Amino acid sequence: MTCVMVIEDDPDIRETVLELLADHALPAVGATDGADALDLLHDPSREKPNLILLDIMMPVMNGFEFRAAQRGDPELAHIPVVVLTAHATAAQAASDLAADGFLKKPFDLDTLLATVRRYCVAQSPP
Amino acid sequence: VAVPWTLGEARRESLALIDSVREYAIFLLDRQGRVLTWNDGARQIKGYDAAEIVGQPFTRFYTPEDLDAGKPERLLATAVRDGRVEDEGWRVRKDGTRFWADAVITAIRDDAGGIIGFLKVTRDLTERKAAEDALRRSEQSLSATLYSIGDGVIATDAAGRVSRLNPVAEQLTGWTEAEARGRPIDDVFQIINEHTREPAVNPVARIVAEGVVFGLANHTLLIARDGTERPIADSGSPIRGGNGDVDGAVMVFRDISAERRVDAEQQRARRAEAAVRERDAFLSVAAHELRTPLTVLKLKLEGLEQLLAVRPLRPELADKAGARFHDALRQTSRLADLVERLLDVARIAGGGLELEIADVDLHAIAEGVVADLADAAKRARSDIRLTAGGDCRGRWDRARIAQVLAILVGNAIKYGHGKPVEITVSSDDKTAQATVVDRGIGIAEADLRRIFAPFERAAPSTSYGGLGLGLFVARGIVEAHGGTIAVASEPGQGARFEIKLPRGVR
Repeated sequence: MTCVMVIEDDPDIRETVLELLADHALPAVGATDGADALDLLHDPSREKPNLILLDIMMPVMNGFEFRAAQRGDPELAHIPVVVLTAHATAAQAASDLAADGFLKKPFDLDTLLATVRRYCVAQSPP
Repeated sequence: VAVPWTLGEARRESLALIDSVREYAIFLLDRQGRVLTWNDGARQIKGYDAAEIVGQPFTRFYTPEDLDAGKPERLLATAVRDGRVEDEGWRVRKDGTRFWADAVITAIRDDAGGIIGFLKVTRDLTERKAAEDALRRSEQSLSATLYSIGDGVIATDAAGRVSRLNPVAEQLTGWTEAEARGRPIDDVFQIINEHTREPAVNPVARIVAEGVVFGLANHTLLIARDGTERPIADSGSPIRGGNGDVDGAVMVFRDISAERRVDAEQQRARRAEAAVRERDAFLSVAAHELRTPLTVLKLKLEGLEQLLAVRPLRPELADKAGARFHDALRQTSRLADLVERLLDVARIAGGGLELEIADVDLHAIAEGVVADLADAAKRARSDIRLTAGGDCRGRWDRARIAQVLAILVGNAIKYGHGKPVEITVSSDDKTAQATVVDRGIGIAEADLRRIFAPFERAAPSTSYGGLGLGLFVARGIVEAHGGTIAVASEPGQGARFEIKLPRGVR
């Protein structure tokens, strides 16, 4: 099963977050931008995630565009979104996106895990 | 006409002729100045009939001022001495009104040379006088305008010879009006192209020839008589006479050195502002970009540390590895702090510092800062002492105020020479204050003013690292809270920084 979707264009951050979540038995899937994420979310063979970690500045489809599409889709609108941002005004960005929270880059591992665990339960001991 | 002395026939005819002259008052006076004869002109000009005035002293034609001054008697005396006298001045008509007269008095002598009387010929010049006065007033007004105008003015005749030069033109050209008058304009008004340094075309000839208004080309330098060069702006216009012909030209010009300086300064200021904006924009982008690798670095290190905790190394390596992870994470935090500091500069300079206001306790914040900096203080062998008095709560941004205290205490440790650092927190009804005192290298008076500016630092960068942003950021945060930050210091005596925050800020 998939617990978290990480939508982040920077491969280093995306893969690191996926790797660390995997370390803690929090299964996650990555998407390179909003459009990629929508494709994955609409794939009937895939389970919907409990949480979306969403970067804002991305090529192809940015965080704002993704969020608008997600909220307009009854199948996806309920999935909580936490914004990953390097923006100076992270709180403002989260509020603009009507997100459930934000992680301001650079965030630390404990904060990341605590945030994810609010929405997901670890599958088995790491 | 009754004349007491004998006149020949010819003279009688002359008198008859005189009688009929209307434009001139022509009459005879006896030796004492009494009127003997009266012609029609005299009646017209002075208003008396012959019957009224003959036998009366001629002094009654004079004004009281002239009478007081003894003018009539003096004129007769002069006529006696010189044979004739001419005088212009105000005279009085029968009805008391005045007219401007030109009078010639000629002494009449008998054959033996004795004075027997005077011939007085008077013209009424009132109208001419009025016209002259008007012309003079007009001329005076023109001169006053010309001489008080703030621009240089040179007038020439049609041949391009200087006729007038106002004081500003005198000053700019170095020629006086008296010296310049009559000289060719090219002698007095020497202009060259600023870039080529070739003589510029003097517009006077063209103005006169074509009757056009002419502006000087840009970048014209006026070379004064002493060689001083000044950039000038100018224009020239033809002077037209009554018949519409061009009688000359008038050049109006001004020294634009000051305008040039102002322009240059404004340009420099604009460039400096643009550079600052670019710097702040760059800082913002750079900080944003730096955060991505920092995030990865931090997460990787933390993940690695956790992995090691799960699968420990051999015991003899475990302690060493733990210490190294701790150091690596600390350096990552420092890097992250520096990035945040850079971003703060951009925010503060751009007025975009956002505060998350809550009810917080300055004492608790200070305790947190002291705890966070305990390691740093230990490394510097500084002892940090915190004293708090009373209720120090207020509505502030906790993280930002902690940042200010961390900057001040961090500086106190850094520049404190390993001596104790004292933090005092106190408050009254309206204001809370925190002071941070060190006994380190101190700050020279000349540096006190600039240390709150971005990228400024009083300590030599060869001995002390840092971006020079801390106090700028601290001031920005304190001021965003409506508070103040102040410093007192002397070199070698340490420094005392004090922040004051209004407690009710919203």
